[in-house]
Amino acid sequence: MEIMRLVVTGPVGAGKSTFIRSVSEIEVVDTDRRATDETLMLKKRTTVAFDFGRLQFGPEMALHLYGTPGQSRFDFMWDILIRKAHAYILLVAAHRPHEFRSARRILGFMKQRSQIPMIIGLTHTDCPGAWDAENIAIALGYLDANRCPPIITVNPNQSASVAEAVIALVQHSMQGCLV
Amino acid sequence: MAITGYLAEFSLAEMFQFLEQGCKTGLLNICALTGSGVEGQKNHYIWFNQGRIVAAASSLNQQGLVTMIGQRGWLGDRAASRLSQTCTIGTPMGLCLKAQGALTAEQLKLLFYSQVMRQVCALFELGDGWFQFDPKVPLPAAEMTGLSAPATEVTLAGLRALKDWSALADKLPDSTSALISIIDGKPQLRLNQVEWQVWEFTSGSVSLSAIANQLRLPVEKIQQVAFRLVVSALAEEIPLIAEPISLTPETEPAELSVAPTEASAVSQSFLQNLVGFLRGKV
Amino acid sequence: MAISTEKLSGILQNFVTSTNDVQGAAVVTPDGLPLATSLPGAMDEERVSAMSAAMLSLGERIGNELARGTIDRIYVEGNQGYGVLTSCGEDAVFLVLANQSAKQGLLMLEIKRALTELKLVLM
Repeated sequence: MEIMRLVVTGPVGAGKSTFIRSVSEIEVVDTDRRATDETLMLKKRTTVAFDFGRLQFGPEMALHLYGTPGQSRFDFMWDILIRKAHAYILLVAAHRPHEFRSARRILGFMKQRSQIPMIIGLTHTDCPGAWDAENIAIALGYLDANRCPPIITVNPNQSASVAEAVIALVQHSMQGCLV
Repeated sequence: MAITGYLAEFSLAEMFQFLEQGCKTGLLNICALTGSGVEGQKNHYIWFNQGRIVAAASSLNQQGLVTMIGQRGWLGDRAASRLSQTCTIGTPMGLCLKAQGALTAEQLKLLFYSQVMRQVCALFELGDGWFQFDPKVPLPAAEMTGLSAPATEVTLAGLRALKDWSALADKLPDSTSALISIIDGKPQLRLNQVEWQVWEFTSGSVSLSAIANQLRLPVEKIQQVAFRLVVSALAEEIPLIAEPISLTPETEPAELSVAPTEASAVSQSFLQNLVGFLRGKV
Repeated sequence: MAISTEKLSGILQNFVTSTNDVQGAAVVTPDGLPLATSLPGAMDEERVSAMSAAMLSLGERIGNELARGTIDRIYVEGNQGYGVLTSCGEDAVFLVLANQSAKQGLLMLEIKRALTELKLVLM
């Protein structure tokens, strides 16, 4: 069996669990618990270990998706998940600039541990106050457009949109493989 | 596209870092919601040119600089206005008056200091405020001395003077994180002593609490200094995974099974199949 | 009624000091935040809490998927000691750390007793 492992990461409430639910063919293995911290302002439940989804697309071929918790107190889970991953997507809610710093912290953590291909997925881009991709790239520390990973827009609630995001990530890693 | 938000969510320091790193030109309007603001003013305007602050005012009437010159007794309002009418359109008023011998370079420096450094630094004390950055607004020649300062230099000065850090509490780097330098060589900005001391640890391997221990300073203080280095684009926060804790130090810590293992590469045909399969779902 | 963290801390401290071979204990929320802790100095209560929550949620999920039923406890045994996680009602998780010379039967009994006390405060 050939397996590709993708990690879906990002700050709290960016849409990681929803993303995985939208693309997985199995019932997602989730580990969410009732939130009691500031997360509660955004949503009722939060992932505390990881989400797991799967997509089997051939007798010997499967895609595994792992979603990380968003809060940095779970960074040991970030560490465990990123080590075995082939590529990852960083989800960022475009209308919540106060989380850009947290997204940056996750990025720094991942980059320090892993050089695997990655892309950035912007969610909530249709919400009032949403920043555009160019400005979010700057806020995340990508000052040189040539050295910025691909940035796409994704609606985690729509499986077609999530499938497109996964295609973008897979194609980006294909380029990495050819080098 | 205009960018709007609240300082409680995206702090002034982060905004300045963004505007400088993005080499933005335009007008930042800040409307104080809580806290007194500067001299009780509600609205504040800061103009940026290529990421540098070129002017600041508490009104859009284009009279700020003339008034400041008048208050200092250097030139009457009328005289200043008359002289400025002879300026080429778009020339900063300060430069124009200097060219005509009405003001000295030293006087311009003083004007810039009180217009920008003092007024803008005071904005860091704001509890909360609404902001809007509009990149379409032209530069206000009548409010400009012709001098400018990098946004992060103003941030450094503003945050050094900041007494109440409560609004920034959840923005500060974690005490368990380390700092890593993101510039080549040494910072060009003028750092103070403690900033230099913390700068020496930007190797990405020493946690802020360990730095605090070594420098014998409270960890909150180090977190504040670290935040200053981060928002002035000198260093980046790197979360550290805590070392496994050994309660019985005489025995060797057990090997953890999370040794860095690279995932084995997937084949091109696998990736092509996957893309084909997903295309069917789009 | 608000949960008295003072009472929780009192119970934990008493438990840690009066039980042989127990090195630390913590009561945390199911989403990984500390409610009360009595831990060895070198341990960061935030990390311990987050790990406890992650472990219990995974354990419960395994219990569910692999048809093991409701999880009573999760047990980590290393060559330097034990970590025992017990669910403590709906709103809390109880973690106990003991060294390698702890007697398992006795430890379980003590944990059960502490749980009864903790649940009274958490109710």
